[in-house]
Amino acid sequence: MTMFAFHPMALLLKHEGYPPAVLAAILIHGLLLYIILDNPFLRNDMVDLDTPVYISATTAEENPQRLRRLQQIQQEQAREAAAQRQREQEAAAQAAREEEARRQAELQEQQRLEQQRSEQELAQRRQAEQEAQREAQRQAQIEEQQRLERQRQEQLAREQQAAQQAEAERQQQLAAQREADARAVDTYSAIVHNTVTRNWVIPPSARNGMTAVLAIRLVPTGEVISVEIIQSSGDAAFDRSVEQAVRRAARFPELQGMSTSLFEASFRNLTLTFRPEDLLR
Amino acid sequence: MGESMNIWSMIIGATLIGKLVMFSLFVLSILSWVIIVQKWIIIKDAEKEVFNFEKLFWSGMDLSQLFRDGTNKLKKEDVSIIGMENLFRSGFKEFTRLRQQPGIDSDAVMEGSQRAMRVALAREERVLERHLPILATVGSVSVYIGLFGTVWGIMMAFFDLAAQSQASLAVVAPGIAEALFATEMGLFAAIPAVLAFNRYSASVNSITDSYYTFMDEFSSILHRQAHTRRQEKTA
Repeated sequence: MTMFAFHPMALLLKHEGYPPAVLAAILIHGLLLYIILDNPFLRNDMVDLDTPVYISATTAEENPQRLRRLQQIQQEQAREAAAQRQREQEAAAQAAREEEARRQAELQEQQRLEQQRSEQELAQRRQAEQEAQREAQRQAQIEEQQRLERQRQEQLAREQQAAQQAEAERQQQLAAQREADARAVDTYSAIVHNTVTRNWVIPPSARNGMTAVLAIRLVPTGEVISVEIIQSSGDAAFDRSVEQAVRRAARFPELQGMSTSLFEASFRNLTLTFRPEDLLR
Repeated sequence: MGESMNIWSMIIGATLIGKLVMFSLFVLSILSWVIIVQKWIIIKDAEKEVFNFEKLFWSGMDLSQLFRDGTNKLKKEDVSIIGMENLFRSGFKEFTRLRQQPGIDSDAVMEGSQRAMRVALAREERVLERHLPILATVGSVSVYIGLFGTVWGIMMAFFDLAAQSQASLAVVAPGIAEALFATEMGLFAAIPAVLAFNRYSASVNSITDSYYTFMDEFSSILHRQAHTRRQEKTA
């Protein structure tokens, strides 16, 4: 009858196996989320140790009769001891009274001496206290001075640091500004270059190695107001074509958007270099 | 640790469509895993039952005794009888019931018991195959959903790029990373679903095959009995 015996699947099979399936799916996705996000707080929670369980043990009372007998014996012994002590005490009391009278006299003498000494001590202590107070006052003054000095120095240091930081920030901003400017210059230069190149018709006489340099003057609206060849290529047709290219471009409307300072710095007087091999010749 | 923060902030910073895609893929993945585990439990149980019951059936035990054992088991535990034993029980029950009818033809008895077994078999097949189409759907569709999220994300990244005067990689990189994450989630949902679908369809096929074989074998036994009994009657 092995078939009817309990097998571990029986527990899983309740409700067609849905509860364990849902549980497993949620576990898998929880694990996935944990791996992806790797939350450090979660990890702390998982390291949490089990609190240990303490078991305290006490012995139970055993054999009550024997205990009671033991108590009786103890009580009797106590009673006897008490009577003995009573007798001894009476004898001792007599002796004590005589002793007491003698000690009383001694004590009075001692007290007198004691008082004398204590008065002396008191006077000494008062003096010492006054001295200590004066000393403490002086110490406090010195400390106060030192504290003020330290504060001043700290203040100074803080101010210096703040100044340095401000300086560093300014430098950083400047650097960032410069970098942004450089990038903008690159972008606009590329625009200008592309526009001119589109308008450039290369003459058949152009040869590799020819170089013509043009000086262009622009106004902030992006219009070209003058073109001048500052370095000729040696070939008149080439020079003409280059000049023609700039004139045909005539205007770079993209330059309108840029800041005035940048324009003044880099674009009012623009130098363009033309080489025929730029165009895959 | 920095990487993980990036992924989390990426999910938070995604567009609405991106979030919708990721959320639906997550839900699909959970759904497919629920079905994967549930089907695994059901199919493993069915395979085990086939093995155990075949061993019991061919052990030479008396068939009516086997039937009574099953009845006792039904009474004692609150479990339902599934699979091959269910086939056996419905066929045998119908056979004995019909045979007690006076003057019934043995061919009619056989026909009745076979019909009962076919009905039980159809039920068993339905239980085994239930939800498998969902796995196939998740396996094929979640890839497309992820692809949709990726295309959308890259499109958005290019719109952002167009709005900038200067193109830089830093502008588009987060958008593209988010877009790729959608495909990754789609693949994560699809791969297990496709694997499980193929595996489980094969298992269900083999189990159903063994049910058909058993049905034929059992019918031949019943046929022999009915035939012998008729001969005795006529003799």
